[in-house]
Amino acid sequence: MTPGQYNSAFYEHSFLADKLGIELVEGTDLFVRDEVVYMRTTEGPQRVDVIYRRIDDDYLDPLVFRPDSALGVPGLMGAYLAGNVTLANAVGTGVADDKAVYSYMPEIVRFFTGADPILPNVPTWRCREPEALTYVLEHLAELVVKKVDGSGGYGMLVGPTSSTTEIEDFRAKLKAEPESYIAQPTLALSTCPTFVESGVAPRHVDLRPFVLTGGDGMRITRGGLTRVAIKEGSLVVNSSQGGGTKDTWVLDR
Amino acid sequence: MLSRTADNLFWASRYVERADFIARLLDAALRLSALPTSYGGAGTGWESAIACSGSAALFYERYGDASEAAVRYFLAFSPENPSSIRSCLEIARANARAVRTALTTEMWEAINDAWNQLDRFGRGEHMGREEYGEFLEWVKGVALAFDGSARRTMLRNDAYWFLRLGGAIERADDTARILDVKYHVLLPESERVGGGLDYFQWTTILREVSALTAYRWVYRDSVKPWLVADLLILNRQMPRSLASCYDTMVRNLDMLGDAYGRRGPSQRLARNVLARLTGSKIEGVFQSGLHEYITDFLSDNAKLGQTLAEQYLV
Repeated sequence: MTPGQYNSAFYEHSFLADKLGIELVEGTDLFVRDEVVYMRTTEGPQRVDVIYRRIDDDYLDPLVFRPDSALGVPGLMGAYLAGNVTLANAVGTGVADDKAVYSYMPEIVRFFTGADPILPNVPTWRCREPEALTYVLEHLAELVVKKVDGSGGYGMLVGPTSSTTEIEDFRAKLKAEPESYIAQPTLALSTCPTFVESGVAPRHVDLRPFVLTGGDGMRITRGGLTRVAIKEGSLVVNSSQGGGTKDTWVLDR
Repeated sequence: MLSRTADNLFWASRYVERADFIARLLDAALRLSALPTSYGGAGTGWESAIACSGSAALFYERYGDASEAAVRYFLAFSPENPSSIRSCLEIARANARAVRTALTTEMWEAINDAWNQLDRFGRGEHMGREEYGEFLEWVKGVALAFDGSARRTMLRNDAYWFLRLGGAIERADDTARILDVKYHVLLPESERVGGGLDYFQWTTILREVSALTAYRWVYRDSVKPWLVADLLILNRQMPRSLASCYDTMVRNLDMLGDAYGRRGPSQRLARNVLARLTGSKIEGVFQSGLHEYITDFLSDNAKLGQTLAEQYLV
């Protein structure tokens, strides 16, 4: 289920649906009758059992969440609560995406495995803690500050590349709502030769690996998604802000 | 198949067909405008193109009269005209993009390249007649590439049938609209033997639907108004005739009905219209009134569009 062709990730949605051989639906393709979800097809209504949704919680069902949502399906949550449809991911799983949760990863790893994590965390300050907030406010020009529930590279400050005004504006927001922010040191992202309008030039990239978990344990997929920031000097690689992707090569040792 | 997917396929092909038709109208007007004005050519060709395009009301709201420059811009490039070639290609591409994975790569490239290349023609202001003619050829090429890719690369399943239905219903509408606008020049009473004006009007009609050569092959006769009407309404061999369009509709609707195991109001309506067309003789059509016959057909065709939408597309 996609928000539609104007979403920056629409191509990905349509590619996935094509490769998986499943229907790519928008909210208006579905309707709920007697707490059961149906799809509008050329052969009449067809029952839907599982929805892999790429729409945020807030927009999923106008009867339960944002009433002005035109992307969702009225009654979908009712069908879900009645056990007639499975949503992947379930509503509320976004909490795992909360950036403050990340700061607890070392403790989480120790709790579940009894061992120290192999990969160290990026040092993270939780701004709701007074000492952390004081430190962050003093070092705003060096840090990256992110909203805990933010995504897509929005609502964040990259200190070293921001103007004094931008930093001061952000300082006001941070003071007003410190519990909504975390801060990290600015990482030196690698660069990669990238074809841009003026020719080939270095642009910052990051790598997103994919780890699958299931009945037979964990598996790391080969390769991954390399994201590239198209704007010169930018560290924001998110596709919703014009970031691109690159092929990822994994070489045998 | 999702109803929305079927709807997008139907409209993508409908708009490509319409772009092709508008290009043909403009091409005929361009040829007429090259004739000396004593043949009644120059002015009326552009007026006729506007009338046949079905966007006359919108046009005269904006322009005082049908000058060559105004018509050339309005029918080809104006974003304000929902049936301009530009708008048609834009809508067709938007529909195709929404169902990108239901199309083959070849079809997507045909329509996407067309949209990307359209910008190089700008607003067409500085084009001479020759260049404008080349632009129209390019548009017809786009329609051929899209249609040809569909025929050569698509699976013969419901996606293909909806695509064919969109093309056929639009084509029927286009041919009928020309006949509706020009029925008076086809009426036997208005014939003046050897009259240059009428002769050029009749051949224009044939040119607008690429049927001038076909006419000669079928009738082996000079251009006569009732034969022009016969060719464009009743001749099932003529791909733009009303009868031939309904052959295509009935065939594709039947395939849908068979695949889905159920026939409905669309199948019945299309079959009735085809039966009326195949049961008609051109003499009878003229006796009971050509204009009424065409008006009835246009209303049936619109009704089929609606019925089909209710049965499959929503």
